[in-house]
Amino acid sequence: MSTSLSLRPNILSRLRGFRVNNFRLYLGIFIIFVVVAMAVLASHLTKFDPISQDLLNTLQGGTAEHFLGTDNLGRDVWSRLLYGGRTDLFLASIAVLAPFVIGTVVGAICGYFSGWVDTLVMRIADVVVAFPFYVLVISLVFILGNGVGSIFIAISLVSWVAYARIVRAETMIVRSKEFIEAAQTGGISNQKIITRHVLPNVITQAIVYAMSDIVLNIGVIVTLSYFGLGIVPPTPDWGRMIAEGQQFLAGGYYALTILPALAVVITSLGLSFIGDGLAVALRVKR
Amino acid sequence: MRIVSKKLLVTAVTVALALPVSFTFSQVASAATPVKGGDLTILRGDLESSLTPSIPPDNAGIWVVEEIFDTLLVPAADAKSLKPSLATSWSASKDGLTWTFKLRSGVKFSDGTPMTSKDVKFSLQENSNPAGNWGFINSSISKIGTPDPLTVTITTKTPYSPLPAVMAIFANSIIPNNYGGKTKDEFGKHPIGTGPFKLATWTKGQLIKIVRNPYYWEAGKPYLDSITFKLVPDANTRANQVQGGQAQINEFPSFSSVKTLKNVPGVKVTAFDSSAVNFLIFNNTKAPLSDVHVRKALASLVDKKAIITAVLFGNGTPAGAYMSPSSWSHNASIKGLPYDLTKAKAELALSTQPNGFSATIMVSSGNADQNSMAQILQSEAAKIGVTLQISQLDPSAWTAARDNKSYDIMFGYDTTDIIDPDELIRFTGLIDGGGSSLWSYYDNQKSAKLANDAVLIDNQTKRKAIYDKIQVAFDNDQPMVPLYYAPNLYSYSTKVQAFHPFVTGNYNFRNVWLSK
Amino acid sequence: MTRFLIKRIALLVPVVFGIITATFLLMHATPGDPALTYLGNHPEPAAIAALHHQWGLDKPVTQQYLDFIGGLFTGDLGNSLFYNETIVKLISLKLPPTLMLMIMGSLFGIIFALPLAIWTAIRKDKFIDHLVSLLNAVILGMPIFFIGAMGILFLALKVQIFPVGGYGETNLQHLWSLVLPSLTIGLGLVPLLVRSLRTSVIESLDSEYVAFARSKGLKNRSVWLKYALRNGSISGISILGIQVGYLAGGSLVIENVFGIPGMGSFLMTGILNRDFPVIQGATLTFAMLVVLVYLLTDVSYALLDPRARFK
Repeated sequence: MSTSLSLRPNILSRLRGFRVNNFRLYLGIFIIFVVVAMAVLASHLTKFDPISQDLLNTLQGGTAEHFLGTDNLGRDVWSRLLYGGRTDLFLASIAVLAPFVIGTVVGAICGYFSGWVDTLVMRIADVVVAFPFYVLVISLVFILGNGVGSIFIAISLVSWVAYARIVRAETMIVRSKEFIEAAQTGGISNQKIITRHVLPNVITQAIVYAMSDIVLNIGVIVTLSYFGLGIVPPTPDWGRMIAEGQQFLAGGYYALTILPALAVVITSLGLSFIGDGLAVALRVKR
Repeated sequence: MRIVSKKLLVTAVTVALALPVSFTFSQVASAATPVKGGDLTILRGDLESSLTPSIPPDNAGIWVVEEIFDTLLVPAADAKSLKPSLATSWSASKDGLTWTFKLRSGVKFSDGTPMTSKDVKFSLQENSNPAGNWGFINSSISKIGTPDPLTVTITTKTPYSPLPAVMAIFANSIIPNNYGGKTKDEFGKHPIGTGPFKLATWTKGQLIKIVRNPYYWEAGKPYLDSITFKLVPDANTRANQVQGGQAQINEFPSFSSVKTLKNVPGVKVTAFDSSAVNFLIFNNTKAPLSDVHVRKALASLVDKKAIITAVLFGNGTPAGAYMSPSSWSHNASIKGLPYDLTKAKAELALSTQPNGFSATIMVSSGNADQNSMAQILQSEAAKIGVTLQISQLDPSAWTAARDNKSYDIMFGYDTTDIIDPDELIRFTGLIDGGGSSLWSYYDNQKSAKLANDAVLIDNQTKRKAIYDKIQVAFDNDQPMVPLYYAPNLYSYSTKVQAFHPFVTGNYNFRNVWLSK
Repeated sequence: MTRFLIKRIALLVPVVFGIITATFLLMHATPGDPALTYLGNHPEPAAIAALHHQWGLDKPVTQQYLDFIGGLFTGDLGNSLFYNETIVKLISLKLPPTLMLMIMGSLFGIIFALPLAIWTAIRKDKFIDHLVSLLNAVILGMPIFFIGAMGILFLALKVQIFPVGGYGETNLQHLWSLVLPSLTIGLGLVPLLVRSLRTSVIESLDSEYVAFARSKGLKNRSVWLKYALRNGSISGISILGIQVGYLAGGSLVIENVFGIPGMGSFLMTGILNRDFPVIQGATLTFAMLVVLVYLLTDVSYALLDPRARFK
């Protein structure tokens, strides 16, 4: 656990240490593969439109037609789970990309050059981190207006900081290594050193973090729509499903709430497993 | 038979005097004896605007005003007749122009000062200001006299039959002369009335707490020590809190909970007779909803029967006319626009927006029923190229958007406060009827004139003919879509006894008590 | 220690300044027009102008910024658009329940997490270690509002142990109604705490203190109890400090699920009310709270472990 970084120069050689019997990683990959496949192939796995209503057949339990039943507006629950997953997963993964790229680049530059740029960026990071994630994202989504774009911008504005901090710390360690000094004295440009030598060494940390970041994103997206912000009807989404199902909990219609919640938990679990497995495989400290 | 029973009565009284124990026993056997004491919490989803009688146009305010203040007369439970309250008797002069009200003696305000005819005169005058929300209801009054401290005479410009009914509206509640020496604003914050309860604390947007008025005139009442009206916007949270015993009454349970609460011990759901009519309301001042074809297009998209099945779980009937069937003025021949997609497309094609448009439908956050209905409408509107966005607002923001005309489409309902149709004909159908046509800001001056004529007629059949016309005009304009006539739904703890809200909405909490 | 404090607070100045600026930008420099959000579709231009004037948005941005900072120094965060109260007054009413919720939440979190961390550290890579880490991953994946809703369903409605929500009227009722919400937050905190605490317990078990104690012939049990617990709680403080953001975000969500009148429901009501001064004030307060907790964490860490002062 504590041998965070060896002197191995790049990610490929680290993958050689990939343990074959990393059960968690494979289980995680399997879960996420299934979840993603279901979301992508949604239209082939159900014949029902997730938003088409059937007001005369509401709140049905499982039938031959609707095998997970229908909700209070007669919409097919199975379809809504599939398409809801498509919405949430797509958004959560997309919302990881920009912060990942921005954070990694900024972190590498700050860690490599230090100086006033580093100080300035890290002070900005301090400010962003001072705002609780949910508080800032919820406020931002409200001010930017409901919609997928707002969620994307809000999350990006906040979560680049974590990547920047992780990568910066790693870069500072790598920078002091001999092979970097050798490269510098050998007259290789800073840009080349960063892209060829620093990034491959520090990016693994960022990749591992990205897995838990997607979990965080799913959580915040689902919470936003639970409170009626962000993703709004008619777009199907797990958070909204939970919120709308809740009024029927006391009446014993547990499935309407539990199924989408289960979907969130299983997806997050899969991502956590991948994160843990990758950490072990890439020997990254968590 | 009559004589015999009288004799029996005498005997019974004697026995009762001699043996008080057995008397009490027989009372317990018939129905439980009310117990004094207890604090009741009632949860609501709407924000009150004011507790000054002449102001609130909203039930959230009105229903509390009715507990703090008294009116001269009160409606009977079925809203078909009137009963005495602060006035013990009333009569009209032969020419039908002057009404005499005899006041109950010994009535005191909650600060201990006695109530006299001067207070009555001031109260009615305060509410007669044509600029006020409820001034229209007193527009026929020309003079108020106070021959002695316990007599009030009211003279009208022309013979005006609804006058006694009008004396039973909360807006004509009796307040102290000159607001008891306070300014109107001050009084608004610390109101004083003769009702069974008096205001203790009021945190707007959170709670109103009223406590027993020690000077209340009806001996032994009220039973409750206090009532707290709490604003809890989320329907689900309200249901939970009643079920968990933290509150006793849910003023506005979602219809979905009728189904779910049926098997829950300790909680019951009762659908009381009501005058409520529920509407899909358009902001008639805003383009493109100001276009009658646009409104008719949207109205044709509303499948009222399906909404009643899916959202109300069968607890209602599809609405046609805007006046409730509980009123004699109800025009049963109006059926409203049927659910018809082709008609909707045709109407839209005639409108200023033949290719569709986008608008926002505003729902009160946490109102599960409104949320479901909004989604149903959204899905239907999409079929004719109209994009509806659903915007959830907190009750106070919802109220503000309603009041400053900044919304597009919303849901709303009305209930009558008096036994005469005059109130709702105006409140919901006319721009200056206190509620700006139920906040649709629909303005029909022809109907306004008709309504003014109607109250001058002392003949119900003739009045009904006029009201029928007004309802037809309303149906043609569809300023809002009458959705359904539904009962007044309340879910409450089985400990709450004698809870029976009137058709007019009055809670009559003076009769309510809590069993252990 | 004084020098440490001065240095630490001096470092804070730019961050606080940045927070104030960021809060200002949130309302004044975001692409959307708050007046449009407030007024809804197709508003009258006059209404927009009136609102801009009321909020001072018609002045130059620099002037607005100076006014905002000036207001802050005089303790003026403006007035709520819906409640006839100053934001400062409202916050003073809403802050106590939130603070209490965060404190009780972290206590429950520590109570659950510390034994688990020690247990899994001792039985590292054994069955219980794997089981706990699996459970942690499950809890981590559960949205906190869902944990809360299930808590209400089972512990308040099915088995009526706790109130289903609200805040009660007396101090005792306040405390009692915060128990279930705090349990929810505490539970959500467990995976985050166990992971870090477990590592620090393992490190301290491997440390020279323990080796020394062992060489002195102390029995295993007393070694763990004394050193593991002590070191565990020192690092627990810093770990909790780091998690204050989670605590604040968690209370935002949980307060709305349980209907507790704290800062979280204040912010959410502000959002549903389109009440911009409220959103601004609440966001600022949350951020200041986090910074303050970071400071307190550093100071108490320095008090407990003098070496930290010279880092």
